[in-house]
Amino acid sequence: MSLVVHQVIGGAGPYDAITNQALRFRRLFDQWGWGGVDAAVHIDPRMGQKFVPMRTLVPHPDEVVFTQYSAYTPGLRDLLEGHGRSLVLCQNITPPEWFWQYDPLTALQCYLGRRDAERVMAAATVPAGASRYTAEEFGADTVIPILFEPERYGKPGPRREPPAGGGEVLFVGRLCPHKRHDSLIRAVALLRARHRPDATLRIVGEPVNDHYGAMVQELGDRLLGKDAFVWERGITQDELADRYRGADVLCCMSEHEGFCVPILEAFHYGLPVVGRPSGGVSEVGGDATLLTDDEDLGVVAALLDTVLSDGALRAELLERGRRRLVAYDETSTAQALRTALDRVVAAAPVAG
Amino acid sequence: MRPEDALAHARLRSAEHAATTIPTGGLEVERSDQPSDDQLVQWAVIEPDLREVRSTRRGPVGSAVTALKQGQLRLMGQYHAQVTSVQNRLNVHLALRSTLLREEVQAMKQEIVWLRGRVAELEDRAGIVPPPDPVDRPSTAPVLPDADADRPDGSPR
Repeated sequence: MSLVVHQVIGGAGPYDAITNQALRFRRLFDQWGWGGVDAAVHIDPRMGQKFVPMRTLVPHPDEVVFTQYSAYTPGLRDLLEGHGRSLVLCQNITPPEWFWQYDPLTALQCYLGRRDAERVMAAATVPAGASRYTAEEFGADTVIPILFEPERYGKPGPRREPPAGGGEVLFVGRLCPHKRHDSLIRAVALLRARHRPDATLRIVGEPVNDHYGAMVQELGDRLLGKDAFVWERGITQDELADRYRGADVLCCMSEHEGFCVPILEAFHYGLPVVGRPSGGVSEVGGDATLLTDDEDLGVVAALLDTVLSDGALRAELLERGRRRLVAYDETSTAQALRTALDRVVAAAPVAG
Repeated sequence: MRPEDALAHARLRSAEHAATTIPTGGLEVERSDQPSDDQLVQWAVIEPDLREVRSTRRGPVGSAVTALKQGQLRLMGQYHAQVTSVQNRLNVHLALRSTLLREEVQAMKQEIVWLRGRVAELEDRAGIVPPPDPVDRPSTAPVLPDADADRPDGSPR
């Protein structure tokens, strides 16, 4: 079956995860011999000719419109409601309550995005979510996970034992309020105070705004000290790989995650994962992670210490992590995407 | 240790070390339904930071573009100050109005509660059986169309 699939996303930019995934999906479509163009509402000039403005997209009735919905996208609903063949993959949208105090414009975007999501999903021939959690939250029955390509990440480093009394805790993700970097810093401060005085924390990610980034930096400097706390932003993929190879454990204290790619990245690099069982975290991590929703951050600190001390526990978690990676390999995602697109075509046959 | 046993073990260890604490204060993220009045007033006064004006390119080209942009802004400084003062005037008034309106609504709500109590007390004294709560009665007011709803003929808006 030859198909024309046009992709639509809200914003296209060089460091944007949705954009990169759209480009990888396009490579898949090329492999399958399918045509189509990629469109976006806002296009960063650095994207060159890879994306066309969404307003120029006029799909033929037998073509499929495939959109990844992750933020309020003006005009998208009208496009979908006027077209009979569409697949909407919802990547989840953070509840605005997390942003009103810290970044009101982002809060507004989240508010509008979540409000519009119901009708965007209803307008789709096949609505889907990037995780079971997201699918259920946004009224979809199909799951198309993130396309995880191990070759993008390079080889894991040699396995090593964490140093006695120390160890590096890593977290990768935007500095946004719902990611709870404040809880992470406090958990590591307790780890240092109670169990491992030389433990360090490294966080990697762009802040939602400079003011919020400064507040996280101030808390880290105050509770951990400049020698034990590092915040990095704007690093390359190779540098990020080195950060994973140099770390001993990934700790994700986020309270809202649609999927949480860093967990799969940690599994790829052979890192154990400790954190909160929020949203898609427990689904993606499964039994390969140590998760707790205890309010007492001392429990998180003790979990971190246990995983850094107990070699057998680490080995078991890493083995389970490898099995989770198999469940999320790119072939499975490609198959899920193709099946969903087949359903779109089957559900909306073109007359004549 | 098996992963399934790790959490119970961690809870025990945390309880054992409960006496060892860390300093309080600093960022502690809180959720909120909407920004507070104080925040609205803070945000109302816009003060663009010149340091935020920069090139997205790296290296010497980026530095040159950043310097050019900042130089242009300095040249236009007097005009921008005028524009922002006009915007600030509107922002501050809107933020203030919002605060005053919220306080008035709050006062009116309290007054309604007091009046309802007073009416109930007088009805009780006079032996009057109160009519059903208006909230439970079917509304006779015209139903306004939902701005987001489809048209009556089913066509999308």
